[in-house]
Amino acid sequence: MSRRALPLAVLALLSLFILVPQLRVLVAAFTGPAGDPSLAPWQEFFGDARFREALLHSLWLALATGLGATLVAVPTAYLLARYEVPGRAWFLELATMTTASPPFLGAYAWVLLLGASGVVMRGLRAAGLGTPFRSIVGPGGIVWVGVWFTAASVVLILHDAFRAGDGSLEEAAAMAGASRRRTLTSITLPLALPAIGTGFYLAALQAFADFGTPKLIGGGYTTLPVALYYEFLSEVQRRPAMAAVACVLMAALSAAGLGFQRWLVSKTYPQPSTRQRVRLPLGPLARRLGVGFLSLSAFLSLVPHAVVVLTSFMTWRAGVLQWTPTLENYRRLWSESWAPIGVSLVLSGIGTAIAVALGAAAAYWIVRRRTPLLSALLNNLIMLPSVIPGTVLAIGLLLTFGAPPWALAGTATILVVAYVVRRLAYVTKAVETAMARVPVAQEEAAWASGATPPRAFFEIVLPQVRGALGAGAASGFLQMMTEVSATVMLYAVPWVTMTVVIFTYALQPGSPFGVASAMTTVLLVCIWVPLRLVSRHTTAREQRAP
Amino acid sequence: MTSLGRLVLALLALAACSERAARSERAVVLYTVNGPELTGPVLERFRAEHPGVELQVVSVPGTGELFARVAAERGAPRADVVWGGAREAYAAHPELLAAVALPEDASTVAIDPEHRWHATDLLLQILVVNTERFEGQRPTTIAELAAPGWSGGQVVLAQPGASGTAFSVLAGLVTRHGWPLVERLVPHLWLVDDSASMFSLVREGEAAVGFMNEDLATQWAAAGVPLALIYPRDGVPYQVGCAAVIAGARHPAEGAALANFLLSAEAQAVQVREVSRRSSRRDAPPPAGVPALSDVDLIELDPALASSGKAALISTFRDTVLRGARR
Repeated sequence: MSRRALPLAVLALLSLFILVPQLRVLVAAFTGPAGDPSLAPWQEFFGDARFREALLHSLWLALATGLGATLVAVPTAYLLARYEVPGRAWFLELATMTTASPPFLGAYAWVLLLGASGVVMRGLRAAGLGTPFRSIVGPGGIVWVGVWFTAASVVLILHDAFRAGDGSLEEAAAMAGASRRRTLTSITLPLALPAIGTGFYLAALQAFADFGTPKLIGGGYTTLPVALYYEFLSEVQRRPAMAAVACVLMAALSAAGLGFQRWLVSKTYPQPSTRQRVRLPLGPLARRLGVGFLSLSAFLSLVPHAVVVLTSFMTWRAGVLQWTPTLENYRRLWSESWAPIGVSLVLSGIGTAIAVALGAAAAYWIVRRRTPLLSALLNNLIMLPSVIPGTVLAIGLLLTFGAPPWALAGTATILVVAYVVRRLAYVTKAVETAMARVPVAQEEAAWASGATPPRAFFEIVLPQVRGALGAGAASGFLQMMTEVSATVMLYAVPWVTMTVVIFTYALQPGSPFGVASAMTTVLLVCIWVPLRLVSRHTTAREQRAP
Repeated sequence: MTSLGRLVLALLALAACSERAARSERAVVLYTVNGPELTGPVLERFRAEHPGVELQVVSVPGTGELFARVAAERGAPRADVVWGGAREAYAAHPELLAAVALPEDASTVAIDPEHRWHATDLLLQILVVNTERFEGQRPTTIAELAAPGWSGGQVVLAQPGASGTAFSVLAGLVTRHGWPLVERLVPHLWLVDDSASMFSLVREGEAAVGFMNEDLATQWAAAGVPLALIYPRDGVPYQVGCAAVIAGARHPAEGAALANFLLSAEAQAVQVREVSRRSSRRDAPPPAGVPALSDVDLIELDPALASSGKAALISTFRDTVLRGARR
């Protein structure tokens, strides 16, 4: 068997599940009603005020959320990375925990607090104080929820960037007489710009593709993913070509964003790093302000989690919260809805195992570049789905595998395929960096002493990237557990996941939402436990390192 | 975790997986737009009476998704029975539904001559105002909402193309008042994507006025939500809610038994009591606290308009009326 057979087989498999569905969408967007090549769908799309509006709204939401998340994350990450702040490790741990939450959680919680009849608003009115605004429902609410949902991930990215280097550039600037502010604006921030751009891009992309939040808190504010959902899943007058046009637009705009981010990253300057960067002490006032700021942003990020856990122990009547404590929700969850918990765990578990196996192999082929063309193709193919919103991905899969000879629609397989395809990029990227640090010489030495290449891979390379593999697996797993936008379009009985149940309950106005709260709480536990294990593992590792 | 531990977990997962897949072959599957607040107590009784039948319930957010799903699975249906959503939606998809005469059909107020759909409830779309939010004189007719001087705030309605409830409202208004009223009403509308938003915006006081299903409004008012229920004097749109056995279902006999049970006096009594939804049976009393049907001016839809004319009605609304209003 040729050395290239296995990578080629993987490449073919990934092409089938990644490239073919997206090409299918592209073709559908250029197909007229009679099945002929045509621009008619595009004319119809841009001729419809509703779609034009949805497109503009989605762009606006993406930019506003990206900006908001960056504005929150830059000072947070800067403080944590550069200064001795009390409780620093604790704040970082909280940030890691908040990155793992189901996307619609925030919308649900903030409406309960700051909606027109939200708890806080009622309290303010009852106390005779005015409310600064009537309700959080609307585009502002979507941005608010998006900012606090994404800020934590941006903080983690920026924290690494602000830790990079050993501070000698800043010291040189100070010695040359630059003020602290001047050093900040002309050395520190420009050096962090690629990371800031990456954070902005990730937050904006999340908001651009988000499907649950606008539906729950938007108050009818049309966005592209929601319009797409109804073009594809409504009973009357389905217009798949319209949905395809929206898909192509969303993927193209996300790709343009990625192009911008790549361009920024190409501006990265190497920073001298001969010693560990020292964290600076803070004065008493700055210390208090710093801790105050960090506490406030951690609090706002954690509000949704607290609200959902609290309301899972409250009585609901006809979907209306009654504020009487109860364990009834958990009892009902246990007696009626345990199956989705199992389905979520099993499908995400299988998806994670496949993603880890594929990701490790792909990272190896990409890093070693023994066949450059193959490496490049593999890399681009794996990265492609990271710019494709979940809804779009699902539509591609349905168009391609929905009918015989495949007929995968509604199977567990198609869900696992969607999960693997969506998350493979993250796992691969997590492993790649670690893989690049494994010296080729070690592997070659193993070959020279008679080990087969697979044996050398399993016994020399793999053990050295275990940490990265674990981290990739954990983040892949929790993203699969909380996946909603592709899942709601692809699932069928009996493969009903926790996110589908929560989402359906959230959209059925009279339903006992306490059970959904209880299920969200269980979901949070399911994703926090593995996350905690991995972060403890990596912390221990870092502490052992010299 | 060691790799051995991981392997054991994966194997356990696979075992659990195949176990469930095997179970699902035997289970009778029900797709429903009704939430667990209704399906729970009704099906609990069905299970008690049919201990041999294993039942799996899948909730779907709306009638559109429900039928999109059934249509997508045509040829290899995964569900045996659908429950919930208006007669018009069922009548528009005869090819997806099995013609089965049920013993309880004769007791209902609306009977499909082909026995594809079976009436389970009567769902009125009434007006509600949020009394904390609404100021001024409450409307008593729909015509008031469409009047040029209307000052009661935006009226919430879902897109009729996306929500069966909103379609029923639109069809009712066109039948009784004609397009001119709809055109005058549109500038006062707050259009949202789904019926859940339409209802919850008024419940939460985000909007002052909206259309709402009578059962939900009654339950919410009883749960302490500040809502006033208004039965417009110039006509109340309504739907006949239905259930059906799916054509080519894997368990036709059990499916028919389930559908028949949904029409039974026992199940209907639960429905009336638990969610204040009117029964489709002639012998059932209305839920507590709602007016008798004889006191309500129901809008009878033109049957042609309701089923085959549905797409035309929606595109007229979307393409002509909405665009006209934007201009």
